[in-house]
Amino acid sequence: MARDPRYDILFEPMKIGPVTAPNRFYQVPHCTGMGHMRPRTLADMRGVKAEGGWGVVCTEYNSIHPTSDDLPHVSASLWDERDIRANALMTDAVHEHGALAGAELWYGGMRSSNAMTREVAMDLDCMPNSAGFPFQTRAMDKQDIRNLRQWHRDAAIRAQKAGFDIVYVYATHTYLLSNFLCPRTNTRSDEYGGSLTNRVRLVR
Amino acid sequence: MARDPRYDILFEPVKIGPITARNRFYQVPHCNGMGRAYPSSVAQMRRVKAEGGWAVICTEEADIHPTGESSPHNEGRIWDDADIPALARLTDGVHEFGSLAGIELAYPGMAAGNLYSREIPWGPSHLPAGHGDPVQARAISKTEIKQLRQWHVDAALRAKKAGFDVVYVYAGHQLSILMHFLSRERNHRTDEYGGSLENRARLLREVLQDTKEAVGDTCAVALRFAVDECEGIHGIACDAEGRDLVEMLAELPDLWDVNVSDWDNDSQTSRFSEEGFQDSYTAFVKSVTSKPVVGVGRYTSPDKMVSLIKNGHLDFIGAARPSIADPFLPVKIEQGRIEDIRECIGCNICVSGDMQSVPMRCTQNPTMGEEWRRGWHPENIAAKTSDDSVLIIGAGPAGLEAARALGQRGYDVTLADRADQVGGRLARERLLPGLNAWGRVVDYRQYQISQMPNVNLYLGSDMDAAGVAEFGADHVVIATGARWCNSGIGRSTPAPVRIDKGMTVLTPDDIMAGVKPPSGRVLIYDDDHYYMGGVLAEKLRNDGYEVTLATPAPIVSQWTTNTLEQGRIQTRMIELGVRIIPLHSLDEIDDDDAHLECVYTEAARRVPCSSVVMVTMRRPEEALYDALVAQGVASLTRIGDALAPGTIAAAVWSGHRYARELGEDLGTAVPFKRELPALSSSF
Repeated sequence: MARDPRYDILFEPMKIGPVTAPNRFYQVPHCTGMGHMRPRTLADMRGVKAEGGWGVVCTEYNSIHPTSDDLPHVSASLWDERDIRANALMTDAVHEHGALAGAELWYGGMRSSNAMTREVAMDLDCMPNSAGFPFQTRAMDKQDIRNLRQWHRDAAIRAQKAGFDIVYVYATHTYLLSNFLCPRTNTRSDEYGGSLTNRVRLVR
Repeated sequence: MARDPRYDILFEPVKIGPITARNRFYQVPHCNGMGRAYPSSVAQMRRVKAEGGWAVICTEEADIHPTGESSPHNEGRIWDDADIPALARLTDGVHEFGSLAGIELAYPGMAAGNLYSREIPWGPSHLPAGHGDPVQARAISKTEIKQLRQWHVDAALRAKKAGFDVVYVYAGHQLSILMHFLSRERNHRTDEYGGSLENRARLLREVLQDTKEAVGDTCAVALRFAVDECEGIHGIACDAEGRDLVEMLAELPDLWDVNVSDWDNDSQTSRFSEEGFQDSYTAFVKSVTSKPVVGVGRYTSPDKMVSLIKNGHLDFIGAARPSIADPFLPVKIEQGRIEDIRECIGCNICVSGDMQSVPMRCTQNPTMGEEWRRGWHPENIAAKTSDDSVLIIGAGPAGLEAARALGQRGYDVTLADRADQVGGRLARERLLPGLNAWGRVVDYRQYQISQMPNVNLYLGSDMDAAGVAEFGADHVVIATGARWCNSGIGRSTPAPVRIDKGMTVLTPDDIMAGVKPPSGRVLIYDDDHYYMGGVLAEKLRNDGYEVTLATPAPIVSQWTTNTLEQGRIQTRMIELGVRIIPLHSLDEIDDDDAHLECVYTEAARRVPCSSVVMVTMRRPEEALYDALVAQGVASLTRIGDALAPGTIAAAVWSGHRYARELGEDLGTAVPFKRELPALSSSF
């Protein structure tokens, strides 16, 4: 059967910056319980969605650095070059069906467990882990902010190398960047806190 | 140094069926949060224990079939031949040191929800399965019983192929279908597998016989059996069916590995039980079997071990936690280095790894779980790379461990603390009810550094920035710890709460320093959720106060579910008469009461009290660090709670890591090897 013409609009290609999605169906980032631990299962699952017609298929939260680890909840990871191969399994599967692949780069801050890496998580202030783990974060200084930006940049470049067409900046769900935006959690007195312009600075 | 002759008995070889263990130190099966997901890490962790002298090293539970799998917990797996190479890596490492490798074949039945395989769990009867998962186990048919027996045989043969010397039949911890068949409460069958103990034990007997037939010519077949479920007449008890079963199967296995069940009874913490807490349950076993017996009880004292053997209680000294805290415990006894034993403190932070499905860690042994991925060894550490000197301010868990490990590397270390004793937070916390054994973290390290001429300890030394500069060390380490806050800020309350001046508000630090709350009711507000809130309630109740414990969590000391302590803590609170108000956060405090708020409805509730103890969060002690940053110091590092308040385990690890990494080129990449990328060469 042919498509009902009243749905044609859903199948219009959409330009997103330098790339074009084949239609208006967009699988937003979502967790899967697979992430970096089960890359093949994950790649096939995302590939099936592309086959099913979704114009954009995204990863789950994709950690940019070992200080952002959420086990036992499994994120994807782009910590170093060795992660590219696992991520490329997914982008290849998605591209095979003409869809775009998106990577949701993620830094958890006070909401990440770091139970596997044992690293101290950074956030705006020294605060208890909000997921209930018996660890506190440490407050970020300006150098930490510079490092974080560098980690984001490095991970974005790795995402590009892995074949992603869309790279996310993730500022919601009480992870680090959203904590910077939030007037309740962001009590900094420097240029990253205070006015909305200041609170948005890091996301920008 | 030579071994003290009174310990000779611990080093006698012991025959187990067709094989011989080189001594009496036996690492019983234990989970580790790594299992099948981190095979290289597990193999190296077990290998290090063999190097440390344990004669028998066992795996964690190894699931034999997809219809019984322990996900999300990272246990072992021996489903088909594809699992053999990973397991062979473990047996090879263990054999390298002349030890025997054992595998605990497991079929969890209704103890697992099969979340990964999506298979329907099997059981003796129709019963809910898993840990609160919406899954039910199915009563299996006699044909399926035959299949189950065959899977055990197949797994045993695979285990032999993978190089194991000891093959387990597992009927413990209520984590095995064999135990579910044994259980009067769970086994409702009316055929020859249900009813009498003889019938309920039929499957266990058959699996034992099958396993012996399959691999018994070259492998020892061990039975791990919980002789008591600590459920009185509702469960197996050591003076009833527990004993009957051992008598019934006495000579069938080559070895009896006996303990109590469930896991929270088997792995009791030092807060609730002493070394040897299982002795009264397992003492009878040797009297009814001629086969060797291994038992556990957090044994760390060599004299206790000797008496267990001499009194005819055990043939092997079983250990899980003591072998985690000190993988080299046997070697240290053999070499006459009793003082060097890093004794388990019985805190169960190791258990929390398995509970959360992440690699296990240990408070006493910071190298646990790091043997493969970071190349850390519990006894060896690289020599220093320069003649630099290090000044460490703060002799708590982090500072002590940094000093010890840097001292071992050969660095010149000065450790200073303004207090008159070492220990930092532990000097205070070890005095709290039930936490005395935690002091071993301090005692071990204090002794070790006392033996090092290159480590100097200065107590009562309150250094300021000028003093640090004057001292002139090449590297300055800030290990000044953290203090509890009294503002009310914490997980549930990001902003300070309003507090009227008339109310006495105290912190755990105040209570530990001996401050007495005014007479009347004390409200403990626990937004921390680990042990501190509950332990202070116990202390203040013991001191005669009326105590109310309010927490936003649904249960007392919620995170201690991960250390298997929560049930005991809440029971104790109830028995002590502590009033518990769960699911309430703190809103504000008046002169004579506190206003709580229901976490769901925001309904207000007033609790009259004459003092409030805030167990919410801690602030790092960073005044000295900030002053040194302002002053400028070439090499300045914070470790432990001064960097980010956390567990004692995290503080010790932080200090150890600093010592490992000083002067080493770490690069900028991920600071450890990862299992999947490492295995991906076979992609």
